Formats: sequence, structure tokens, C-alpha cells
Amino acid sequence: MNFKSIKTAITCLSLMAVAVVSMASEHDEHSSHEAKYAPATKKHSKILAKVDHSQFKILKQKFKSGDELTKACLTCHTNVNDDMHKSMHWTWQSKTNPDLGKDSLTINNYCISAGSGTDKACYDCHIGWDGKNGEINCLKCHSQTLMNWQEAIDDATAMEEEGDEESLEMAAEVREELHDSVVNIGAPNIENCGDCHFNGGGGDATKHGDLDTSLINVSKEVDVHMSPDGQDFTCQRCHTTVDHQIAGRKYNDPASLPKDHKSLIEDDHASKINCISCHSERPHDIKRLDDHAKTIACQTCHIPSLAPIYATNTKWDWSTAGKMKDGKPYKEYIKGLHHKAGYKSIKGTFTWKKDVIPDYMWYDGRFSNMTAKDKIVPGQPIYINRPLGTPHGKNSKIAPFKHHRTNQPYDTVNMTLLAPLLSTPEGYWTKFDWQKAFTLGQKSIGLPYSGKFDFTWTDSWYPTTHMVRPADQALSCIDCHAKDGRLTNVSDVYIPGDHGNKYLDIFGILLVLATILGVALHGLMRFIMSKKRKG
Amino acid sequence: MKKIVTILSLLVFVVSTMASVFAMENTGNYRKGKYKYRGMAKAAFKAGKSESKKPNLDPSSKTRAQWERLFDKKDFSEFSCPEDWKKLDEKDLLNIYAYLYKYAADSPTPAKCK
Repeated sequence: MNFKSIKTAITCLSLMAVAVVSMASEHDEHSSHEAKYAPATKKHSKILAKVDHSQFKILKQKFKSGDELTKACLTCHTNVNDDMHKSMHWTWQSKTNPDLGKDSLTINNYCISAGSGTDKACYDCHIGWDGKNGEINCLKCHSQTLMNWQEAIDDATAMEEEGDEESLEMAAEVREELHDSVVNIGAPNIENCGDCHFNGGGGDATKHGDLDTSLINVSKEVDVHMSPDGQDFTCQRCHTTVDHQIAGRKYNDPASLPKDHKSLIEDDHASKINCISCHSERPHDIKRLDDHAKTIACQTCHIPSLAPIYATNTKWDWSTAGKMKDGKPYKEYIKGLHHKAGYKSIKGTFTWKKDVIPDYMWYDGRFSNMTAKDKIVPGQPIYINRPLGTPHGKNSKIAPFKHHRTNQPYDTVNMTLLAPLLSTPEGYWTKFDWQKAFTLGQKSIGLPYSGKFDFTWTDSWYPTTHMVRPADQALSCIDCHAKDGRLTNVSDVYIPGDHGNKYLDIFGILLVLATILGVALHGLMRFIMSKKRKG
Repeated sequence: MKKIVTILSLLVFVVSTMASVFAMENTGNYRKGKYKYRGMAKAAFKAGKSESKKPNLDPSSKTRAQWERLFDKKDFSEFSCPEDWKKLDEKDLLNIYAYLYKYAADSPTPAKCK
């Protein structure tokens, strides 16, 4: 048995002793913790009156455009347009910092930039029919039957114009399918939200390690909240929505601050709900665990790993993009992974990982975000975004994050990261011409391009808050309170069992051994003395 | 002289025939092809021969040259329910080919973010 083993054993024993003592002394005090849970809440779908949209004549017409369809919706839902145009789902811009947002100067280290609406592939996820150039597409969030509505409208209209028997027959089928989707309306379900949010970064599970299609009909073992066998939540159960303004983190604006926290016991429709809204600030049986919650975010222990089902993208190298086979672009898929490519000519090289241990950092709910106009400094790490928070900062807790690294293009003269135009006929994915892609991409966001570029590694982090596992899968003490434990790299915090002074540790061990020896000697002496007395 | 005229006439005939075949290959109705193609997958699903209503290959699964080879050889084994493909007439095949070719991986059609 070496020194490390002895130390670990003693740490374990100490922690167990502390836990036992805490439980013994504090269990009674908190035994009624269940009463602190919010009572079972009703789902919105059961509260809202269900309207049969198939009864509305206005929805039975042969729509020639998406805008026409939306105008039909707005004849009843009269105030929605104004609400929607204020929402970030429409503006794609931060309310507090206009430079931030997909429709602004924000860049990331996945597909890099949406190019202020010129990159049409990114705009597939905008809630408008044609970006911001027309009406909102209500169906994106409210149709319970997802389909490509724009394509259906265009095709049906074109085939009706062709006019031959076969075309008309096909058009009628398309119209029927479209109509079924248009009238099957409800509050957003997980597939509505997931259609975009599960595919961030260009595909399923790519950007987020805690948001992917595995959440649709997910098991309770993976997500206790979203699972039909668990709480069976819809997304908006936590992302509370008032006048189409959906609660949640928006770039540098926190999802919620403690001052906004409201228990669902007080108000079943409290806005900006978070863990404590239902679980209270002291959800554990053990006081010591509740004390941990003052500095440790719930997610840290209760989301022990990212991407438990589908692998998430952890590294991306744009510098290798553009290779051809027989003069053609190609993809190479990785065996055993759910449609994950190791290489794509249009995007470069990828690394994917399952069951990823998150990075842990201090976090107060805000992020710093880099924009396309920010200068990079040679030799300095480039953080595309980074959680903000300090050990003694107001609202700061240690929270888990997905870390992503990318080798992405930058302007070697202007020293800024570059936003290439990727999709569209002139974009990189069609022409495979970086110079053209940078010229057009930078022009679209109103920033210069010197004509000279290279690639550099960047880092980004994404918060982890979905895929909460059952309590028995939460981290245990030893996951952190051991040498090189989970929180070993967190700055400015002392973790017993992990951090420490070698000499202090030796002194502690000697002290424990001396105590044991002392107790043993004392016992032995008393035993000998009692024998002598009897003798 | 007669020989030259005959050879030239033949050459013109061959070139124009090839051109018309080539033109036909690319003038199928891609819209009809799209819905015929999707209809094939739906029919296979309905008949219990496929696990999905959606086609197992989308146009960007192959390059234009790969689609061209597949349709030249009429080797439909990669599609769900290949036996049904043998029953399709030339017009349907041409339409489906036009659709797959139009949106092939290396087509100028804007690539999707995937």
C-alpha cells in the first residue's frame, strides 16, 4: 500500500464519517424535504383549450406562398406578429448588446457565422419563411406534423400550373399532406423545438452535449424531466413563455438571476423557472449536500456526463476542408457512431465523443462572447465564448460546460476571425474557394477582409443543463474529493481530498496514525492493568 | 466524295442521337420524380418492407456521377424494396433520376447545413 492509497483511504473514511455524523445530526431537521417540492404541476396542453383548426375555412385554401398562409393565421391570432418581431427567435440579436446574435457579429467555432442572413442554410432555422424578408412561419413552432412546408407550397403550386393529369394528382396529394400539417396545431412539442435546437452546429448532437434527438421519447435514465416515464415535461415547462418571449439564456443575458427566482409553490406559472423553483434551495436529506449547493450548481452533480447516447462534436479542423476524391467532394463516416462523419470536404475533420466529462468553471449565468470585429492576439488563447463568474462573485457557482476546440480561419492582416459564406451557390460548400467565401462572408457582415488568411485554434464552452439523471446516478463525494477529481482544475477553490499541501497531508496522516496508536496503546494498557488487578 | 458525305451524315446522326439521349436524361420532371421517389418509400413502408416512411437515400447521398452510374446499370439494390423499382416505367425512372441528379452531393444546389 503506497502513500497515495493510504491518503485516499483516509480521505474516504473521513468523508464517510462526516457524512454519517451529518446524517445522524441533521436528518430529522430535513426529513420532510418532500413537502418542499412543488406539487405536481399541470401541463399547458391540458390547461389550454384545444381548437380544431381543421374547421377553419381560411386554412382550406390553396396557399401559393408561406406569407399567404401566415396571413391566414393572423386573421385570428391578431397580436402575435408584434410579439414575435420582438422575440430573439425573430431578431437573432441580443437585446442588451446589438453586436451579439446570429444576425449580427457573433461567431462560433462550428459553422462560424450566419452571415447576417446571407447564409441560407443557417436561415433554415430562422422562424421566418424567408428570413426576415416576409412573414413568420407559425408552423415551425406550432405544427404538430413537421414537414418542409415551403417546398410543399412551391411544388404543389408548380405542379398545378403544369396542369397535366399526373401533376394535378401529385399536387392534390401534396396539398392534402400540407393541409393536415397546417391544421394540426398545438403548443410547441419537443420535436418543434428540437428541429433547430437539437441540430445546432450543423447536425444532431453537434453543438450541444445535452440537447439532441435522443431526448425525443428519452428514457428516465437519461433525462428525468423530459422522459415520458419521468416528469414528461415540454420544453416550455422550464422555458416559460409570455407573449412569445421564451425564457432562457440569451448570449450574455442570464436565464435567470436569484432575484427572479420564484418557487412554483408560490406560483405555478412563475417565469424563468430553474431547478430551485421545484426542488427548493435545500432539496437534499443531508445538510452537507445542501451546503454544497451554495457554491455548486445542481447540474454539476446531477448531469455527470454529456452526450450519453449520441456522440457530440468536440473538435473541428476547418483547415483540412476542400479535399476531393476523383475531383469530387466526399464524406467519410465513422463506424459505430450515429451518422457522424470523421471528414467532410465541405467542413474538414471532426472528432466526436460520447459520455464526455464536462469542464467545470465558475459561472454566474453570463457569458463573454467574441465577435467578428474583435482582434485576436498572437500567442494568446482565443476564447470564442467563455462563462463568466468568480469564486466570490455574486451568483457564481461551479457549473459544467461542454468544451469545443476548432481550427478556424482568421485574417492575418486585420487579426480578426473570419466569417466565410458557406452555403448558397457562391459559398464555400459549392465553390470550395476560401478567398471567395471570405470576401462574400465578410461583406455580408460589413467587415473588411485583407485577402490573407490562415487557421488558428479557438475554444468555446456551452452550458449544460439538460439530461438530468436520476439521483442515484449523481456524482458521489469521491468524484471530486480525491486526487485529480472532477473539480481539480477549477480556480480559486480548495477541494479537500484533491487540493492540498504534501507536508500538511503527511502531518495529518501521522496525526491520524498516532491517534490510532494512542488509542490502541491506551486500550492495551487498560487491558493489562485490569488483568493485573484481577490476578 | 459520296463516302465522305455518308460518314459525315452518320456522324451527325450519332452526335444528334447522343445529344438527344443526354438531353432526355436531364430533362425528366424532377418535381414528379421527387414525389414518385418519396411515394416508393412510403409504399415500401406500408407493405412492411421498410422501417421508415422516408427514402433510405437522399439525393445528397451520392454525387451526380454516382447517380448516373446507378441509373445506367439500373442497379436499384441500395433502395428499400428494389423489386418494386423494376416495375417502374422509363418515364418514372427518368423523373426520379432528374430529382436525384439535381440535388446530388456535388450539385450547385445550395448545400444544407449538415
